[in-house]
Amino acid sequence: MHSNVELFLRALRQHFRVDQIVVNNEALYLYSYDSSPYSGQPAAVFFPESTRDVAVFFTLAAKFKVETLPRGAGTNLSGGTVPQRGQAVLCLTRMRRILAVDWEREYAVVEPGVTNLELQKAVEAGGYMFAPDPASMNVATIGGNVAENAGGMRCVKYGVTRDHVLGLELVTPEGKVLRLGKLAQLDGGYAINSWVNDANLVDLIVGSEGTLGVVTQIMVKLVRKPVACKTLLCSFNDLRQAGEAVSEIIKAGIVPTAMEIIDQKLTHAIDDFVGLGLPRDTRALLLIELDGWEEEDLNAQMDRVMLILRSIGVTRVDVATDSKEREQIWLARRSVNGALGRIKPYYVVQDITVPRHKVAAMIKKVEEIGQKHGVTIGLLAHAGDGNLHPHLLYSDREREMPQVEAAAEEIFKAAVELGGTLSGEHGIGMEKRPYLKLVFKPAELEFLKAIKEAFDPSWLLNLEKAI
Amino acid sequence: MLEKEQVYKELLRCNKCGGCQVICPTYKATYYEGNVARGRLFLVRKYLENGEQALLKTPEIVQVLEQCLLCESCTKVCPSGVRTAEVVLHYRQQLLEIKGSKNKWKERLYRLAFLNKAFIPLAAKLAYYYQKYGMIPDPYQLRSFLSQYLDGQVLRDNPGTGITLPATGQRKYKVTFFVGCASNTFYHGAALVAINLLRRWADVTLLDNYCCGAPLLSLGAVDGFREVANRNLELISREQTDFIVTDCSTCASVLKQYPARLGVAAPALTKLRDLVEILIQEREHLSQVKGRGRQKFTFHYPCHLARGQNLKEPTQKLLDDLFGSSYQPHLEDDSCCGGAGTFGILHRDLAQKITAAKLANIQNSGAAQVVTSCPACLMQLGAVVKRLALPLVVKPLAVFLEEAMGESR
Repeated sequence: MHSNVELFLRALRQHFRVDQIVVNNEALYLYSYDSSPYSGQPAAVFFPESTRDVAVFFTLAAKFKVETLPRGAGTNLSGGTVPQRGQAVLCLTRMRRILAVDWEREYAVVEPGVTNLELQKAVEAGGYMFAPDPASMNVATIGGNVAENAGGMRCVKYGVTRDHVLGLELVTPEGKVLRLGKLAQLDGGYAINSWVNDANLVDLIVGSEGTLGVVTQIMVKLVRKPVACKTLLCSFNDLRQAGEAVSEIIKAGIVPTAMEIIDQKLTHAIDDFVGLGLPRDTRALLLIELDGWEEEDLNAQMDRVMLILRSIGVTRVDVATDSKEREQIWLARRSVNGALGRIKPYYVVQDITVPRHKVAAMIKKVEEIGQKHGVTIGLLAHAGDGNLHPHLLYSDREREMPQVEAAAEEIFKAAVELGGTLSGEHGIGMEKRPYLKLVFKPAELEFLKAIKEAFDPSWLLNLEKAI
Repeated sequence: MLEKEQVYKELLRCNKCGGCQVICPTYKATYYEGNVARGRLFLVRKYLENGEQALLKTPEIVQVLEQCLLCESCTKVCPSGVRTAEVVLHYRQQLLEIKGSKNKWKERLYRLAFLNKAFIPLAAKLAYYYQKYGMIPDPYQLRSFLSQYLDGQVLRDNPGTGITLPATGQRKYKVTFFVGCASNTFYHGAALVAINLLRRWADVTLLDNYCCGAPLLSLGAVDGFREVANRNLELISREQTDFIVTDCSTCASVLKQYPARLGVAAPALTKLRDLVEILIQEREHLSQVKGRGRQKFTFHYPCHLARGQNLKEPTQKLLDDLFGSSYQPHLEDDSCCGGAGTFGILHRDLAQKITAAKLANIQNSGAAQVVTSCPACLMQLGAVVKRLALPLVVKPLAVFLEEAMGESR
C-alpha cells in the first residue's frame, strides 16, 4: 500500500501544481479531524479546482489502488470526513464558484465548495432561499450538505436537502463523470436522466455520505423566501411539556417553519455568547418560527399556537418580530455546538430521530439514561421533525469515555424501540456504524454493499463509513 | 498577556466547530485549514502533547503562528469565545525566547526603532533615498511606504517639543495629542489636519511620546512592549489635559489595553480617546458637513477600531448622521485589510490577496473613496489600490472630514 501511495503522489505531481498537494506530515494533521471527536492522519491532501481535476485524481487513485476520502469544510459531526484509514483526502474547498442562477426557472448550479451561506446570500437579493439551513450553514459546504442530506431548522416545513436537489454532476471512484437528474437535461441530453428515471439516481447519491462518488456540480431548487415571519420563545418547566407542545401543534395542522427545543444548560451557554437575555430560569425553551405571505396569515396561526401552548402549561412566551432580534435568536440556536466549549471541552452529539408524537417520550428516556450513567447531557432538538440532538458532554477522554459510550448506545436502542432511527441529518459516519445492525437486517446491509460495489468496484472510496 | 494555564483553557474551549472559517481573512484567501483559527489551535494543541520545545521547532507551527493577522474576528464569531489572537501572542513570545530564533533580529530592530524616538523618521528618510537612487530591488514595496513622505513635515520636526497649539474656536477643553509613529512618519499631513480639527474646540499639546508598542506586541517582544508602555504611561500621567487623543486607532486600542497587559491600574488612561470618539462627542459641531449629492464613499473599520475598541456602531451612526446616503457601507466592512502592522510586508502575497478581496467589496459598494482611521490600513489599502490601478481614493478620516467641511461651507 505504501509504495502505491508514493507512486500515486508522483503521478499527481505530474498533473498538478505544488500548492494543490499537501504531503507534509505536520500540515496533514490539519486534515486529520472534523467537528466530531474522531481523528486519523491522511496520506495526502489534494485540492482540485475543477471537475477534471477530480476525475484525474480518481483515475490515478484507481490506477494505483489508493484509498480516498472526500471532504469539504470539515464540520461533520459523525466523523464522516476523518481519514481513519490513512486515505488520500480530496478537499473540495477551492471549488467554490456559483455557476448559474436562473430566476425564471428557479434553480442555481454551484460547485461543492460553495458554503450554504454563500448560496443563501447569492439568491437572497432575488427574494429566494435555499431551504436547507443546517446549524453549521455559515461554513458548511453544499457538497457536504448533499453528502449528508443535511436538514436544519426550516426542514419541518420545507424538507431536507434531498427535496431540494434537482441534479448532480458525479465523479465516480473510477474517474467517470456522470450528469444526473435535471442537470443532464440542461445539457440538452436525455442520457441517464429521463431514460432510467428522473430523480432516483440523484436521490441515491444525496445522503450517501461520499461513499459512491464525489459531486462536482449541484443543481439546487430555489424557494421563495416568505415575507412575514414571527419567532416565539416559549418557556416550559419541563422538557417533556415542550415535546408535547410540538406534537400538539403539528396535530392541529399547523406547520411552523421551525420548532426547536433547547434545554437550560445549552440556553445558558448560547446566551453567554450572544448576550440576548434569553430566559435563563426556564427548564426548557421551545423556539417556534412561523412564516407566511402576510401578517394576517401569521395572526391566525399565532392564535391557534398560543391556545395550544397555554393548554400545555407554557410559563412565558416572548415574541420577536424585529428582523434583527430574530436573526440573533437564530444565531444563538445555530451556535449551540460551538458554545459547548463553555461547558465542557469534549462532546459527542447524537442525531436520533423518532416519530414526532414520540418526542416527549424520547426526551424522558434521554434524561433517564443520562442520570443512570452519570453523564451530563445537553438536549437540543429539531423537535418539529422528531430529530433530537442529545449532547453528551465530558472533560476527560480516558476516564469518562466508557460511560459516554454506554449512554450513547442505550440512547440509540431506545430511539429504535420507539420506532425511530440512528440519524436524521449528521450521517452515520464512523460514529454510528457499530449500531447499523439495530436498524438494518443483514440482507439489507448486503444490498447496500452491492450498490456501493456498483459505483466503486475496487472498494477505494471512503471505506468503513456509513455502511 | 495570558499565562500558560490560561492558554490551555483557551485551547480546550475550541471544540472544532469550524465557525471561524466564515470570517478569518487568511482562510478566505487560501481555503487552507492551517490559515484558520480552528487549525491554528488544533495544531498547537496537538503539539503540546509532545512538549512545548517540539512545538516551537516545527516549521508548520511557526508558520500558522506567524500568519495570523491578530484581527480577532474569529473571537467575535466563536460561540465559545476562544481568544485565538492571545494564544498566538503567547507562543510568539515563546518563539522569541528560543535560542537562535530567527525573529531575534526583528526584535533588536524593533527595539531600536520603537524605543528610540528619532529612529523612524531617520529610517524612513534613508529608505526614501534608497528608493530614489534605485537601490532597492522592489520599488513597489517601498513606494507604498513612502509615497506620503514628500511634503512638509511639521510633526517630524517637533513631535517632541511639547508645544501647545491654541484653540481656533471656542475653547472647551485641553487635549494632549498622542503622536503615533505611522502618523508621524507617513501621514503627518493627516495628523496635522486632525490636530487642526481638534483645535476647533481645544488647545492641543503634542505629546513627546514613544511608539504605542503595537509592533513589539505583535512580534511577541513582551519585554520591549512593557518598557515602551511604561514610558508612555509615565508621560501620559504627567499630562494635565482633559483628553489624550490620537488619530491612529491602533495606538488608541493598544494604549487602552495597557492596564490589562501590564497588570497595573492607570487612571490617566481613562482620558484616552480615539479621534473618532471626540468626533462623536462633537457631532453637533460637525453638522456643517451635512449635504446631499456628495460623491459616494465608504468606511473601512480597522480591527483596532471595531474589535479593539468596540467602536464600529457609534462610528457608523456618526457617518450615517453626517453623510446620509452618500455613506455606503461595504460588505464585511470591519474585516481586516491585510495590513496588520508589518504583516503586509512580511507576508506580502497573502496580505495582498486579502486586500484585493477587501477592495473588491469596497468597489461593489459603488464608493469612489474609502476612508479609514488607521495608518497601517491606509498604507496597505493605498498600496494595493495603486498596484491594481483601481479608480479608488484612500483617505484618512480627518482629511476626508476637513474636505467635506470645506465643500459644504
